[in-house]
Amino acid sequence: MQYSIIYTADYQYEGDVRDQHNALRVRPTHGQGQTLDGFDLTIDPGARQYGHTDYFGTEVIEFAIGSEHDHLTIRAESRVGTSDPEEPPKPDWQSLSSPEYLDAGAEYLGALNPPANPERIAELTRDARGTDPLDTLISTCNVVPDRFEYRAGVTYVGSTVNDLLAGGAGVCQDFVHLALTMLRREGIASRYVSGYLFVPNGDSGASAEVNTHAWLEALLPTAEDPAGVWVAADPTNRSLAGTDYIKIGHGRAYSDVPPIRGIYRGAPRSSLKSRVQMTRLGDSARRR
Amino acid sequence: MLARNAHDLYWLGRHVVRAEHTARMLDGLFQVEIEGGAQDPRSVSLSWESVVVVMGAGSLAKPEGSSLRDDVIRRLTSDPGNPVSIVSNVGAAREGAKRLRDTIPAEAWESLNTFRMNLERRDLDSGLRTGPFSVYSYVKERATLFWGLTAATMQRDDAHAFLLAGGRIEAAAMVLRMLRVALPPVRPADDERTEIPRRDGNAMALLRAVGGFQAFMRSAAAPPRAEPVARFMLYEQAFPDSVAASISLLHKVLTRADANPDGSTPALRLARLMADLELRRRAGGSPDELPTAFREIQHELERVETDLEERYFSGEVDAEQHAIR
Amino acid sequence: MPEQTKDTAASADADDLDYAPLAGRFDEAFAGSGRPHVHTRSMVESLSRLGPDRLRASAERRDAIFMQRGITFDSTGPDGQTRDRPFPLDLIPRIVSAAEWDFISSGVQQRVQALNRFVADVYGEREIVRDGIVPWRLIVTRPGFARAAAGLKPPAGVWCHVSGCDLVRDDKGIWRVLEDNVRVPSGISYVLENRIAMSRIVPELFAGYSVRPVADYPQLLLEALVATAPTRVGRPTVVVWTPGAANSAYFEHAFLARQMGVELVEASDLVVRDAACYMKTTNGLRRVDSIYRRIDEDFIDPLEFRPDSLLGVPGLMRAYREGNVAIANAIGTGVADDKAIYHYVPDMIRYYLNEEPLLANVPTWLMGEPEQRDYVESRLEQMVVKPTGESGGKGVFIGPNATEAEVTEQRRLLAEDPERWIAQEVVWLSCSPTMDAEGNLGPRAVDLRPFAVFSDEVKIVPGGLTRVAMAEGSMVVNSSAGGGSKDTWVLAGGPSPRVGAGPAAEFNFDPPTMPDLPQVGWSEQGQQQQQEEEKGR
Repeated sequence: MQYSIIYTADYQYEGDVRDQHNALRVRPTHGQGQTLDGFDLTIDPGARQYGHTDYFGTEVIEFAIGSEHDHLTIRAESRVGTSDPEEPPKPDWQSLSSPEYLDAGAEYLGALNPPANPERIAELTRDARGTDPLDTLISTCNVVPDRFEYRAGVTYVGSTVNDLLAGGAGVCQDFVHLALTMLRREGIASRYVSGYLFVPNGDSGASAEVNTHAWLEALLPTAEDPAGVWVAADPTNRSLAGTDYIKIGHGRAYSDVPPIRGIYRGAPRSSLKSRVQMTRLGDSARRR
Repeated sequence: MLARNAHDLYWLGRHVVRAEHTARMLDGLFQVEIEGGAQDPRSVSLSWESVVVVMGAGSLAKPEGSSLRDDVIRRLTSDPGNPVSIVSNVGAAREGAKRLRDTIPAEAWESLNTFRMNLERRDLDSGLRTGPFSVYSYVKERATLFWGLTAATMQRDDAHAFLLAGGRIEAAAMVLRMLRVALPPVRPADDERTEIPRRDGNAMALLRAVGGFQAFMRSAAAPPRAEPVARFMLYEQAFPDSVAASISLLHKVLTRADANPDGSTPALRLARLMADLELRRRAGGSPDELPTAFREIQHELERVETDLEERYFSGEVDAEQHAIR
Repeated sequence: MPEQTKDTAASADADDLDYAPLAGRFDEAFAGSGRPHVHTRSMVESLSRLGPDRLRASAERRDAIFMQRGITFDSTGPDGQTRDRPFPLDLIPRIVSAAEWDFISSGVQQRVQALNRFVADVYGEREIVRDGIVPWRLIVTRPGFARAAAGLKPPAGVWCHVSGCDLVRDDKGIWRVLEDNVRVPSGISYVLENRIAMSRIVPELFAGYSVRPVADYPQLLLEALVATAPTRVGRPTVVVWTPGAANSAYFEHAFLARQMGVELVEASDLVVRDAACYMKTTNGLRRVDSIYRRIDEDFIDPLEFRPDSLLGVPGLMRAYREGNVAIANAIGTGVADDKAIYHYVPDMIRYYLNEEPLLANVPTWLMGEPEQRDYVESRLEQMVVKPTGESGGKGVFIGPNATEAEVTEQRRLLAEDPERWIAQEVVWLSCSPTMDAEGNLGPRAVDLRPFAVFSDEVKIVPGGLTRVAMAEGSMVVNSSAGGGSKDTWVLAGGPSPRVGAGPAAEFNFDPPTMPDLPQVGWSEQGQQQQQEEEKGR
């Protein structure tokens, strides 16, 4: 499937700001069944862009604006092709303790920081436990939205799993963090994925205004590769991920792949309007 | 040099001079009050109220059970909670010197450290009750020791320049402040017969406070009246605490420290101010113009302060940082 | 009189000093017989001539000098209060013979080279992982593993510009590495200050020795910082970055900046524009090429490391990645001095250098490995257990000294998070004669931290910081826990052939015979030193 994605973030500051430094993680990844066919980033006020690939393989674009300014607009336009994921493997529990698996999944097996309430996690994990790891993965993606309400505005980017447990509601980021905590407790290596999800609305069904989204990938060993393959799943939408998921990057948790991280001097208050406009171009729209 | 260190040096100079001049002012006032009886036609009216106002030392409310004088003296001398008191200034100077231990001579740091320690140890309040003279003379001595040590041991580099710059700008500002209090604009309602002697008395008190009496008597070919005294304190280059002398020295050290003095806004402004002071000195003018001159010079000096902060310490006035997420 | 003195001197031994080496420990000054080692003979003679009274008087002068010069260390007393106290220098030097030093210095060189290769490998090709020497899961779970360093290639391949290995000597006299420090090792300023103080306070002890100088360390460091700076026109601008005056090692930061003649900056002095780092001066922004950081990497750049913290210099990592500024030590070196990684250092030396390790490790068990944990738990009372990510002796459990409650607590901690811990055999540290408040000598446990500077090759300052446990029987040498230090003398050659008849004896002559000569010689050296310092300011 081919998509055009336009991500815009528009900051208006209440006064002049300066010495602005930002790191953006908005560029879709290329590989793993996804192709990036075009990418263009514009920044206003204009600034030189510095790109690098971070440890997790995410393309990071940094820029700095030294002089005074009162607004910042970031616009990232991408053209992406996705393909159907492979059939997920169905390993047994035993396979999760091979040295190959433990090495490949090492940093995705540790607890999130701060540690979540162990009793609540034990209880949720017990309820979500399936006959095998894949079963558990799918079950976890159901138990989380069963028990917690999806509601915007009750949590913020810095919220923890405990905030979700206590408040009973949250957004995709919180659901993913909880699911990761549960899966890792079961010895299933899993990681946080940041990206865009196409959810058709309106009449045409081809264009939609969406938000950035988060889901997860779990590492499941296969018969050929004891280290395993990453299987994408969405604990907000109770499903394995398909062609409508466009991945930017992954990490141990949100803090490894925030779309925007920045710092500036000056006016403490700002307003942000951010939106993602996605258009499905169909299977044949691929241009070269 | 690093903007942060220059900034610390500049404020170190300011705090030491502020403490010293506050001591001088209070000492002079106290002296005048003892000497001048109510019957004296040249009775001095440098009131404790105006001191509070000029120093920004808090409210004018008279405390229960003690005179305003005692209260003002305490507030400006020994009150650690008052940022303009002598002990606060000495404390701030000592903190600054501590941060600058690798920049200023060890003796200068030690002298300020001892200064603050001794102020803390002394029972200042009882000292003030029995005789403020000894307290103020100690403060003046220690401040003089600090300037002597730095003059004798510091290389004439940027560090020395910013230390002096702070000291001189503060001295000029303090003298101007005192002049404005001593010689306020004449109001139509004032009775000339009492007002003129009163102003003359005020001017003399001030002159004594800054230690310029002998210098004035020796150099000025004029009777010790308000107008010539004020002109002396404003324009006399030979008197080191005059506004003109302070500004000349300030200009000199900044020009020396600046890699591009021709492009330095504060240096250019100071050069203009020096020319202006010289013009005013030559023009003579009537005593009525003095209060206007005080105000104008003071405002210009405030602009110099802002220019200075901007050109040399911009890093130190950085706005707060905020995260974007 | 001189005749008689000479006779006693020639045969001075432990008894003459009223000193009894501690049973079961290696003694740095005396052999088992109570006779001095060959290289300590001259010192023992001088000490026996000085006697407790003169030693005590010297100690008083020492404290006054240190306080006056501000050579202090923050220490936390039993009441929990932190205060400034003079860094306790014991006046009895620790002497290392030339041959011994050759061995130590080769061993440290080898180790630093291997650690540096390891860091480069971990953030690069990961060959040591692929070849199955060090498990990846261990590396990525280390708190010091810095993901921000992945793919970086610092100039000349140097990551660990400055390092300090903590060496101890066990009861057999075998040198062992207790831990590595390749993040921000501190203590070098005390090495230099100790030497100056010793030459002023007890010049008599130097008699009969040719001690290798340590004073060129700042120059070595500066050269390394200049060498690793990005190439631009003109001489690179180097700075020392301190967390600020409140830091316990601030004295050292200021000391090094002064000795190298460079600016001592704090985060607020630095700013990044586009991808270059500048410092704010009174003449505007000035480009910075090389930063010797004495600050934890977590607080370098809030954009990269701690999103919850606004400390640091935003954008600095970008300037670093773009190759516009050098940072020493490089980002990410903490993975190499982790105490669990320590276990693998001998393997690293074999793997990267194809050499046998010269310096031995202390036998170490990883608590993350079940069999190893079982073994340790069965004999916890005889083990030392350390948290892997801490330094400075924090959280260390010493079995033989632990109460029953402490043992129980340690068992609980091990069960809770085994990966956080390693266990080691107790090493019975060697002892060195050390002076107490009365001027009497007693055996006290010592270690040794040599400092290495790595640019094109590993250079090691002859000597290093000898830390000494000031309490009898204690083996805790950390200065933050009340430990002291000794001047460490590395001898240029063998002991002077003129022992007993050379300068050692001359110092003891009565004034009429050789009036002021030796005195003049020493005080001149002191003055010269002082002048140099004043220039440095």
